[in-house]
Amino acid sequence: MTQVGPSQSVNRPRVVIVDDHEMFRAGVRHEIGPAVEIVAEAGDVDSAVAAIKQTRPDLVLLDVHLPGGGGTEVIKRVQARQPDTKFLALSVSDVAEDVIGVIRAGARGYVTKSISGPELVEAIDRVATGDAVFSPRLAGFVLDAFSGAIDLASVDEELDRLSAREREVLRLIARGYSYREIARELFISVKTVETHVSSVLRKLQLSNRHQLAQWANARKLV
Amino acid sequence: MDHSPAAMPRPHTPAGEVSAQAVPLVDIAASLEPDPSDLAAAEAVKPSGPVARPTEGAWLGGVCQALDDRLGWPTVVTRLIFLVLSLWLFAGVAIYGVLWLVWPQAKAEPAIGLAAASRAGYRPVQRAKGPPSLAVGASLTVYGLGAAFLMRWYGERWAGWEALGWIPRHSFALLGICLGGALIWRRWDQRGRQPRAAAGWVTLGRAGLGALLAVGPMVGTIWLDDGWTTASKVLGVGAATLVLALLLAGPWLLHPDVWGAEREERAIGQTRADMAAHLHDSVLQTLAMIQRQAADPKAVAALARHQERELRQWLYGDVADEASLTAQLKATAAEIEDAYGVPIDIVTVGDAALTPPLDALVRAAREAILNAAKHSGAPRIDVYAEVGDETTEVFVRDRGRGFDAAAVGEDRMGIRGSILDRMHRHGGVVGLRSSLGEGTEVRLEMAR
Repeated sequence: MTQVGPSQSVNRPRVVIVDDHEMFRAGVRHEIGPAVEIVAEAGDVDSAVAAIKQTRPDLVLLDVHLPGGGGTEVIKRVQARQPDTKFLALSVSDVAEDVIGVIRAGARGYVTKSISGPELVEAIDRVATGDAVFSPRLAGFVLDAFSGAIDLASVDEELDRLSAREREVLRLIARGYSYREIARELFISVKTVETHVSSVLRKLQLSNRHQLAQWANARKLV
Repeated sequence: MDHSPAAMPRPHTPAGEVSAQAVPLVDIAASLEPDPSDLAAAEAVKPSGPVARPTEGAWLGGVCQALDDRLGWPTVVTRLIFLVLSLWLFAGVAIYGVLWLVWPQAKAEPAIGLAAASRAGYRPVQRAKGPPSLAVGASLTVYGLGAAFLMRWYGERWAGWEALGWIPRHSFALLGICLGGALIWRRWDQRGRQPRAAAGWVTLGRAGLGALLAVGPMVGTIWLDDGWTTASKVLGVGAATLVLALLLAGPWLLHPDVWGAEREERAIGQTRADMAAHLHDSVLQTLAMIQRQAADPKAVAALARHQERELRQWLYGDVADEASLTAQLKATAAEIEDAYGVPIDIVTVGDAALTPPLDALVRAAREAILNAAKHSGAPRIDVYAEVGDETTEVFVRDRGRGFDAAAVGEDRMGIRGSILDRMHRHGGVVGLRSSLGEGTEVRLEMAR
């Protein structure tokens, strides 16, 4: 992964920040401003969709909770017309149902709002170049969701299973390892780690095992 | 939890050199001989509590799915069983209806924060799925029992299949009553889930249709059985009863909301007061403390972190079982976080009831976290717990100064007494990896 610092001005990803809290937007702007090019900001679903349509950014930093139907709604509306737009979801709630929901809608990554500036910049960079970003929390959710017996009625069996390697990578992410540390631990390249995470993301988005929805619901009952 | 795994601060050492220094995650003791008594006590938390009918993926009332959840039979099988049972005197229908009534619907009661976000349209609309209505369950029961009764009755008068040819007329009346009743009463179950504007004409139309469905076949059957005179008399008595009922219920019909609205308002008022009290006790106090300690950034960060955790739990938290492994682990982490001001990110997968060995595991993890908080100097500690089919693992990781794992002397009572011995007593395994300047990771593994 290339190091993105303030010095690098060529090929800065063009970013739209979507969040209904002005104060939070200002904070993010301040933190990631030098490393990315912020082309627009929006505070609700409608204005976000309009801004994305107009500015055609590389990446949208998207709040999960948003007036007008939430981040999921933005993704749904934008992806119909601009399937290339990449979304990195950001949330303060950290609730499994919402996190899995926004990822299944099409976001390529999820981080919590208390993420530090440099970490956010690297996450943006990763997602902008087509990779996936999982927070430890999200990795935990995914491991949880994909654990247990496979539904007999499921059609895409392959999609309902994580490979041993994918599971290993997710476990390391959940343990707080960075991609680079994971690569070193498993004697593979960072690129391979990214491939595994992207593959997990794809399964998460495409798998139609009903447990996924059920699991997110049932979690709250335990 | 609060960071991307992609970008960790990696102090001092360039990536290449580190692995050479790192001590492999050695198993200091490999005695994974679980105490059989402990094993027997270890049970998964999940399949306890009352049976509930899930709403997600339900065809009718979710009864088959509830059976699936409880017994582990595939829904294909349970659905088939109900179908086959229904062929015999509608027993399947009646049993299904009764179970529908008896088993409560799985209540996906969202946390306060989520409910508020949903109401304000900050989240995707969660459609109230399926017909979770009790009225439908009740109708099914009535229909199942009624139809069975009709069948027996006719079965005695006209033996065998001949009866089947006769049934429709009476069972249509029954079906009409059940359908009509369900249509009218479903409205009551769904109150509050639909916007108020949708009431009015729709409700009236439904009620009319329901009444027609119920009364039509009934009167028709009487007409066919006993002639028009009887039917018209029944109709007349029915109409008189209706007028009387309308007269009696008039005030409530004209002002249907008087009582409901008043109660609702009172409830809202109380909730608001509770909310204000909570905010006063928590956030307001913290903000005051933060202002007083503004000169000490570490204290401010710790205060903010504590408040965030508490508020998050209040708004979005799930009511975890107090005696579960993850609940204990989270409580432990919170306690150390408050005491030492180091953020502890904890991720858990699965959960289990707290047994003596798992309790020992939590205590050992506590010691490991405590060590990291006290000695590592790391800006954050990552804790990961996974409850597997055979073992439960806890990882405690910091990116602090680390130490020479080979040189852990007998004097390090923290590690020796509290972690190693404690784990060994219950047949657990401890793995320790640390290198100077690189940080430490402790792996605790216990058979469950």
